Amino acid sequence: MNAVRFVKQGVLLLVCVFALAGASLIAAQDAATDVSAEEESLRNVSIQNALALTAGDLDAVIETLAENYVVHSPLGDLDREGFRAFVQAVTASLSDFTVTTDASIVEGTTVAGRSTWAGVFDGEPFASPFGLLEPTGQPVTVIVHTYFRFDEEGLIVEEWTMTDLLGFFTQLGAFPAPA
Amino acid sequence: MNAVRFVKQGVLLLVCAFALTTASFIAAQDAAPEMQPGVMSVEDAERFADRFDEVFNIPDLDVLDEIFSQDYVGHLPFAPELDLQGLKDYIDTFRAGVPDMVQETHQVIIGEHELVVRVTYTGTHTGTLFGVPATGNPIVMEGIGILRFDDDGLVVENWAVLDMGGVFAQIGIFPPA
Repeated sequence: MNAVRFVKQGVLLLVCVFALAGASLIAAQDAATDVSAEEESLRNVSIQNALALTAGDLDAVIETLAENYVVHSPLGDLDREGFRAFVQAVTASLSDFTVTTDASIVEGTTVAGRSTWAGVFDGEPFASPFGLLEPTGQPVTVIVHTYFRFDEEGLIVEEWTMTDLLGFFTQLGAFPAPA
Repeated sequence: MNAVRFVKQGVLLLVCAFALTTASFIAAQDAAPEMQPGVMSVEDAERFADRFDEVFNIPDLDVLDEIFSQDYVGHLPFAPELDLQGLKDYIDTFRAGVPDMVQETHQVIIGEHELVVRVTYTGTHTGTLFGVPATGNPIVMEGIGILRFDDDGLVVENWAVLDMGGVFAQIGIFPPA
């Protein structure tokens, strides 16, 4: 009787171990298709950068850019200092400046997203490619679509950004709104 | 002794049942995102990108009826909200001004329910575009689009930012940026 019970217990344990191993294997396989912790941390960098820009902490954003960082934008290619100068010019002209992340999608070492840059044009005159624009006192909103590519150290090394510059400069008063 | 063994077996069974339930629950949770329709494999995403390119490159607007939903809503420059027919008219407007326009897709990012595409449109300004008669100038327009898919794998919504300012400059509406 004792032996039978022992075998029964053993079989029960084996079945359990096998079932658990199987379930874990399935769980591990499914997890591979999910967003990984690494991907999530890269996505978090882009989300935190939006919050830092809103908080006026440009230095915190610069720290996430690699030394050889380049952004391909409708204004041409900008390096780290070029990006800093552009943001400084924008924030000097716009009060209540905010960057809101509307969507953030990650795959591998690339994070793509949609964000909204907004503020009120009541600060410094803005030096646009179309001449110096005087403050209008009006709110300004621009949609930005971006691809961020991260290097192996988790720094943003290359960025493609698409902005409705036409709409942006139109709102800043550079030209009348298109018919 | 019998009673003790019985209790031991019972505890063992309970532990096993609990562990199995937990493991199944974890597996089910992890499986959930994969099971959701609309989440694409790399192959599906590439196939979609090829079909989307065909809309512009064959060109064949009817492809849109196969890969976009009839409930589609688009948010494009100068067109905050348009339907599928509106999108076809939008593309036609561009094609009238740039008849040889082609779309090149550089990169596709796969999200949970969306693809993000980085594209360039190129062509020659040989027709009337935004009221500007043909200049013969080359046109290069960069764009980044987010395409959201429904449960049937069709595009139900998209947001696109295109470098309209660049195009305006290229056809001489205002000085280049």
